[in-house]
Amino acid sequence: MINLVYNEMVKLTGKRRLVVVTVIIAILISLFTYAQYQQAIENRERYGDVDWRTALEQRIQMWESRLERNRTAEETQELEIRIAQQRYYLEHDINPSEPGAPTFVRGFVENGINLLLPLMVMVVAADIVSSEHSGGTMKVLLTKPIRRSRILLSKYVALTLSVSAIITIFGLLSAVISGLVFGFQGWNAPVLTGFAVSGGELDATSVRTLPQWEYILMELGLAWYVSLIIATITFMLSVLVRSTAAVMGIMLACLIAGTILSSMVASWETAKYLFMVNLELIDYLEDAAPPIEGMSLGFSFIVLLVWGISALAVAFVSFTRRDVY
Amino acid sequence: MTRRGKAIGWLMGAAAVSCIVWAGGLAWTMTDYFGDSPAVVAEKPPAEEEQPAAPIVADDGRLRIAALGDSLTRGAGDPEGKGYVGYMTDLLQDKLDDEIELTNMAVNGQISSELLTLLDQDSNAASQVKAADIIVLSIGGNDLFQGGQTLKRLDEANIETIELAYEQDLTTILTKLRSLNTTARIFLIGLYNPFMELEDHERTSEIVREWNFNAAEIAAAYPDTVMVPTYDLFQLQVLDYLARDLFHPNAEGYKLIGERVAALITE
Repeated sequence: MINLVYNEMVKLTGKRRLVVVTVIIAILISLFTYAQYQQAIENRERYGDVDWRTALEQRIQMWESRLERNRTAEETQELEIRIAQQRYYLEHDINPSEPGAPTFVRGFVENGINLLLPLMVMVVAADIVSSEHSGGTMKVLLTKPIRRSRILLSKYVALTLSVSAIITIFGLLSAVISGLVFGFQGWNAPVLTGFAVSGGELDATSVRTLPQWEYILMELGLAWYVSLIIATITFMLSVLVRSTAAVMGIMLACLIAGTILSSMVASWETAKYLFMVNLELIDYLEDAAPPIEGMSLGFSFIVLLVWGISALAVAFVSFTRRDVY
Repeated sequence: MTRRGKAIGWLMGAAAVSCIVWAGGLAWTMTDYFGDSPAVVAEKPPAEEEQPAAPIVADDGRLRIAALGDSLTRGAGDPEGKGYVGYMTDLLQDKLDDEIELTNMAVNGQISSELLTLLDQDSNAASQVKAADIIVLSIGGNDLFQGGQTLKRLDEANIETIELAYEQDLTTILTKLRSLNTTARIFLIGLYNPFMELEDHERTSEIVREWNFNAAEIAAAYPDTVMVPTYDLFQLQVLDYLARDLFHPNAEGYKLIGERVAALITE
């Protein structure tokens, strides 16, 4: 089995897909790093004469006075945690508007999870089976004395490995490139999490802080999961559709439809069962409201899981039963 | 070819490791997001420990008002929800130059013993009291009327038990407030008789008058502590000043009380 997977990896790397993905990610990260850097310069120019510590202290004071006239316990608690967070910045001499590499990684994963990462994964997954058809190698492969399901399984394992590698490359590259510019400080900076949305209102009763590295690990875990599900769905299409271009087209349409839908489906409730509106898992860790009432991390997780498992089942059934000629 | 083969071997190994790491990250997220409520609770105390540390600033040209007590201070019955505290603050804002900071810690239905618990256990309430320049306090209405239950038992013995308990609590409350804050002016809002139009009004009025008298006597034992009467405000046209529940004041009634308290507050 390992040899089969190895064989698949040889084919996969032979197509230089991982290299392409790495290059694309590296270029994008450099671009965004540069953009952030410009932003930091502009901030410094604009607020140059105001020390950021003074600004922070002012903000803390403002929140504290708001604390004093506060009525609800929840709001009080949230404010207290926010104040504690700002105090941390002060004490550890971190300028929150000029963050280090960890903050960049955090933001980048957050923004990449619903489109960029799925696209990258798709590049690898789209032709993993269909290229055997178009390249004419499918028959050779199937004449080997190995069960079809094992062949497909080895392909899927290779795909899973590639997805994991892409997430790792993504995380490492963004940390390294942005770190070279911004520095590597702030791995332990506190990040707010634990918001819950109940009945359309933000429930901040269980808000707390996590060290940033922990939060990034969580984010990458979620990104990995989302990418794996997208890869699985693409994998199924790659089995069903023989043309790689068609696979890409369908997945692209789904993903882009997802980004558009998330912003406008609030009234179409059953849309929450579509996989593409459930991709932004990281939002649940933050204080963003879900696109549709009643969605939560658990809900999205299960919807994606169901899609993933069904896609895998369809792929295996179709691949093992179909006539190839 | 072998070099490439090795590289792919390494890649597979690294990918397998990252696969495990990210799956671990995912599992962590899930356990953190779902289970783990003890961890949430465990992290709460540090946040609360911050409360006493929250600096209560000394004299900075602001007038800090801490409002304590029952629904009267909360503003129940006022469509605008301001209550006498709100109207009083409005008036003071016009009258004084100082910026007014109001903290309303009143709870609907609060009785004197509950207010005591609040002062003893809520460190935030205590620090607000410490910081206040003015403390307004309305307590006793729920002790006495018990949501109207007392009207059924107006006999001397029953009223006396209620009143004795209340007087003890009030003494403890005022002592507590004074020990927290030696300088603030304390305004204790007296009771009015919301049942002025009911059949037993002679008896209820008598009880309320006596109640207020005793409260004033207790308040007099503390420096800078004023018992503000409201009985007279509602005496003649009680129905004009009561909300639909015929117990709480309406906006007009609250305005009368607010004006009265505001008149007592000068720089």
